[in-house]
Amino acid sequence: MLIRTQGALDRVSEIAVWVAGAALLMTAFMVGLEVIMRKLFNSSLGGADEISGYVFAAATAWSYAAVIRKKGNVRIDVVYNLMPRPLRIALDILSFLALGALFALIGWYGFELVKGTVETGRISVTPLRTPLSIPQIVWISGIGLALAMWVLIALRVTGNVLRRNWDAVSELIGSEGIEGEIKAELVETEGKS
Amino acid sequence: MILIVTFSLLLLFIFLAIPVAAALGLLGVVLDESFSIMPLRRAIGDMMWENSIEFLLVAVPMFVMLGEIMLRSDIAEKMYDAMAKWLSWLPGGLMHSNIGSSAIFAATSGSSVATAATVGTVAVPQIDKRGYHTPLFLGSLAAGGTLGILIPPSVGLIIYGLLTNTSVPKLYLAGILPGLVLAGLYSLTIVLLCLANKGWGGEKISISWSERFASLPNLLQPLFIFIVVIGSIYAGWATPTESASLGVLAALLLSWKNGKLTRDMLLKSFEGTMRTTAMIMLIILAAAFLNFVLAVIGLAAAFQSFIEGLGLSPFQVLLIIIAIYLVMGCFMESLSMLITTTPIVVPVIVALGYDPIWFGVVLMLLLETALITPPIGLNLYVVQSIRQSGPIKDVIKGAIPFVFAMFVMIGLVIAFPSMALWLPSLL
Repeated sequence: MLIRTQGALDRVSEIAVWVAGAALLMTAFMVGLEVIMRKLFNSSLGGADEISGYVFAAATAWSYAAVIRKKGNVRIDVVYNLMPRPLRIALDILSFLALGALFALIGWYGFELVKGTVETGRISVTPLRTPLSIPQIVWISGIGLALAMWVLIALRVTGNVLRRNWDAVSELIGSEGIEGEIKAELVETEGKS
Repeated sequence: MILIVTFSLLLLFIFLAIPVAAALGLLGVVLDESFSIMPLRRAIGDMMWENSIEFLLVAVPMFVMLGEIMLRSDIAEKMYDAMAKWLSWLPGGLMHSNIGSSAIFAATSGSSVATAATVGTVAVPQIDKRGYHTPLFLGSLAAGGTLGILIPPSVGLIIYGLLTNTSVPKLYLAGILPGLVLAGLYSLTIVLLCLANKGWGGEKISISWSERFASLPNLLQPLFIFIVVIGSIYAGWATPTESASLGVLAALLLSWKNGKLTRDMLLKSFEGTMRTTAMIMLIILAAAFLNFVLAVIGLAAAFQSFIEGLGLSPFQVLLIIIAIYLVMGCFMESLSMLITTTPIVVPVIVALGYDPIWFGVVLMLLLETALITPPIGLNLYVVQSIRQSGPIKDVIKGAIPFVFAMFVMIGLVIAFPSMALWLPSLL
């Protein structure tokens, strides 16, 4: 059950990352067009910078889930690597809880912010007069996806801790170390052709 | 008191291998709870949002994407080939091509890791083919890669500019000359070591002048991207973020021209871009909150009065700060180091009468050193994992001479601040 949910959530976060990247590429086109129009025709699309800021916020937020899943967070593991395995697993759990706390914090206060925006109907103080609830709802939903990913992995870790299946715990939340991280990146660039 | 609590907690969190972003964020909460008069956490939502939509930071994913596309577009292979034809007559042969290619790639990419990974992938197969001294060859790749954040464009300088409210175009100009001189110092290091040790420089390569000139068009592609990204800023056409977006479009055009633009390649580039961006942004968001708390509880001021209380001359303080960075750089990843220390250190530096643009260059040099000093030197690991066999000790050993070249460079920039400040003064 958990495994199947994980499969589905992985798929969602993978697609989210693709859409986020594509959206940023579109932003590059929009900003490029803006520069060319401003220079050559002395006119402006107006608000390209504001819109790219919203796209940036949303794209980043929707990518956090993949970072949690792929253990992409920077951890300084000099001391960690010197420790015996049980202690390392304890630190992995502590780190994962800390990460959850950070996302809970962002999620909680982010949600308060968005709630306030929706209730008061706040509008950006720019020529575009964007109703801020639109970009903020997209943004906070991305944080929501990250939290869902965290909760799911937390459940799987709990199950594996109860079964004393430490290998599975390490695989879910252990430190890849910088070497592992770079290897993942290089494997990806191998397929560059 | 605040000083001691802050630094010891931060060190504790970091050495427990807690993710850097979580460590910074939680430290902010703890300090807020213990020292601030009214809880600042309510400001978190606003702060996250304002930083998330910051237009200057949009340059970060743009530069990452630019690098990801270039990496998959054959641009590096052609450039390396041309540099090899022009530089390999020097004692040390292709190692100069490593440095030259890194410098050129740095002029199109904002990241040191991307530079080391790209040039390294092309260069490593040459070691055995031509019998180079393996450690020095690997060291030249790790060190050459660090030029990525000094020669503009640079993600490091953008983040520094944002945190210190200094002009990114000026910072870019300030990085050019020191970047070129540092590349020259690297080459000098290689020449000296190869003259002193027979057999380190590999077999001689002879190339005719006609071959050299025939290879020049291969340099046009990186040149094109450099002109788009940097030229558009100084022609007054574009802001740093806009120029980064134009760079992405230029790279896309080249990858299409080289026949490398496919759906699969784009999706891979997106994945790489978003993973790196999300990782960086999470640290930036957490650091923004921490910095806000630190400002309110007066940590920067406490640090400043602590430094003043020492009764040292500005120059002595500068040396101490540099020494701290060098030690810290052995254990911390450079980007986290940049984001966490800048808001605390730069006000002190400015109060001492130093120029923040100049210090930006010094700081980039210190971060570059951090990238190749063990045990945590990201570029060492990058080069090692490209190589895939042999001990990492080789890379570390080979990087040491270049660390000394960096020390010389830091000394030069301190002795002659105009190296960094002359070009920006023309703006």
